[in-house]
Amino acid sequence: MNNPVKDPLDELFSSLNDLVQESPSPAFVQDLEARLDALEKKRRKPLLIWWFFSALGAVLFSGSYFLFFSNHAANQGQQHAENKNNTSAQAMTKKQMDTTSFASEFSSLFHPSTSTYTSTSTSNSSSSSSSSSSSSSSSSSTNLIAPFPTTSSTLLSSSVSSSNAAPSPDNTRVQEETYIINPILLSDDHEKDCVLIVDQPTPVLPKAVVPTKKRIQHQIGLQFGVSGIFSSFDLPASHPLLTDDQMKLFRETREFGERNTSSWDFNLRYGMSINNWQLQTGLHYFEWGEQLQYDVISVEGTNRYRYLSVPLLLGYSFDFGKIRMSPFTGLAYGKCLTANGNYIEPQVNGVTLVTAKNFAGTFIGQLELQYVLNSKLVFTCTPVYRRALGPLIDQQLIVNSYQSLGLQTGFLYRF
Amino acid sequence: MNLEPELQLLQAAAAGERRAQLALYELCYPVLISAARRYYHNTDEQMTVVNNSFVKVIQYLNNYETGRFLSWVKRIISNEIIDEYRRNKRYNELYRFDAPVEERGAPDFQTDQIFSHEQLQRMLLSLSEPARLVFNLFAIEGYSHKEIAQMLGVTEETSKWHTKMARKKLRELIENIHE
Repeated sequence: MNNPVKDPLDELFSSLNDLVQESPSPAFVQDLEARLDALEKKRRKPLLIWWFFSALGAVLFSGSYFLFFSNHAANQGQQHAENKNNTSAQAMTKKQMDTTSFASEFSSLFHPSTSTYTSTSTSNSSSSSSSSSSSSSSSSSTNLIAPFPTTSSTLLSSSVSSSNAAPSPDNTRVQEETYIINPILLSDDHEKDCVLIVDQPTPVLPKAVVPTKKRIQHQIGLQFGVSGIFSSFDLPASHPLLTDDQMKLFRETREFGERNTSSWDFNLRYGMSINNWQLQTGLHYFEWGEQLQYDVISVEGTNRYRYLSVPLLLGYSFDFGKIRMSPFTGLAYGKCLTANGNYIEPQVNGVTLVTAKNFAGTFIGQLELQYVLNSKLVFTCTPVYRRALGPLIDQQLIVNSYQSLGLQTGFLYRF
Repeated sequence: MNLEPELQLLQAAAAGERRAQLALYELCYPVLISAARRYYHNTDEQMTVVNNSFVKVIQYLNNYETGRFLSWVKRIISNEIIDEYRRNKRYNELYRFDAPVEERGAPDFQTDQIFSHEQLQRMLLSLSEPARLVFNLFAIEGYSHKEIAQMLGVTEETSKWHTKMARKKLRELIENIHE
């Protein structure tokens, strides 16, 4: 910005560069405030989007968590209820047996001759009670069985009389043993509702979903692989210190000068499966970066940002005999091992040194294909997609984001 | 007069505090409006370029490293004016003239007359847009022809040609005022 020889005319006009203290008019301030409001809104928007997706992720995660664990709890509850039912059914059967034997004992106490007589007398009493006009002969026997529900007696008698002949003592005994009286309804308060089920098999309890036994399995494994890294950069439409032309040149130079690259991956993993659900963690090594070869300056090479991360992945496996397919998704958070990189300067005449984020998050989605070699050993082949959460490089005009697609193979040991 | 803002004010403005932003605007306004007036007749155009530049100042305040703040602001408004000029498709006019320009030796203009800011501004605004732009950048803001050529994407010869034409026109105007 130095002009050695100044023309007097230029000098005259350069006085226009002198500042005159002046305040902005209200119209200027009003217009500015509107522009600043718009800028503030624009700034808030990515923040809102970030919060929205974070909340969505949290809801999905907690939803799947509750879905998984509530099913588990429900299964446990059902098992508990079934146990309880079994216990009460057993108690009920016992009580029924007690009641039946008590009835026969009670009958035989007043009619000690035979059990058949009890049945016959009951038959009489029942017919009198059902017709609501009891005869004097039958009333005595009815009174005798008064502590027992009348309806029960009716059913008892009908069952016995259905044989159309005087039942043999053995026959009656057999029938008596199959009588089931609802024990709850034996109290006097529920006399009207008493039901005696005759000649029916023991009622079957509602079929509970029999919970399958929880199968927990652990696995450790090693996987190696190769990934293709796709690098992308964000460049603002304009910058105060660069003209549109400079920005365009910078963008084009980067577009042509930076290319995708590949990297080795390594995964030392531990997994736990509960039934078909899988949880995976471990140590995950991978790289981000790109190849550089700018035409305008003699800089070439590869930027590599190496990360060692701890993933936490949730998956579900589908079994097809010896082959198992398990889609996984989750996040990894890791420390940068190599953070230095270089890019062309915005003025395209030098190199800018940059440093990648020291700690970075990564989204991981993978489809694990397993081949079961034997009960302990499994071969895996896994296509993996990774995406760095947010820009990994964010240094003034150098803003880089990464994603990768790779394939890992390895072995798992199950125990 | 020290017009450099305090760091605290810059931080508050960058954080989005409206009162600090307006205080900073008050401070930058003379720089911004004096540049805008050299390029535009119309108040609306001046307002647009002044406020757009100030929004960029706020937007990139985090990138500002301590130094001469008002020079930084001046550079922002210069780039904004150049970008605005090109957005309005008046840019092609700059390419019309590409004839070689003879380097002048000693300056041949002398005047004792004193002109007010308004008179000078009026004369400047009477120039054609490309001539005004190049003359402003070269004579007033002090960019070299090489820098102007880079910024505008034209040859140095074109920049020199426009400067020469601007000087010629301004000399005529000054002589007319004398008469």
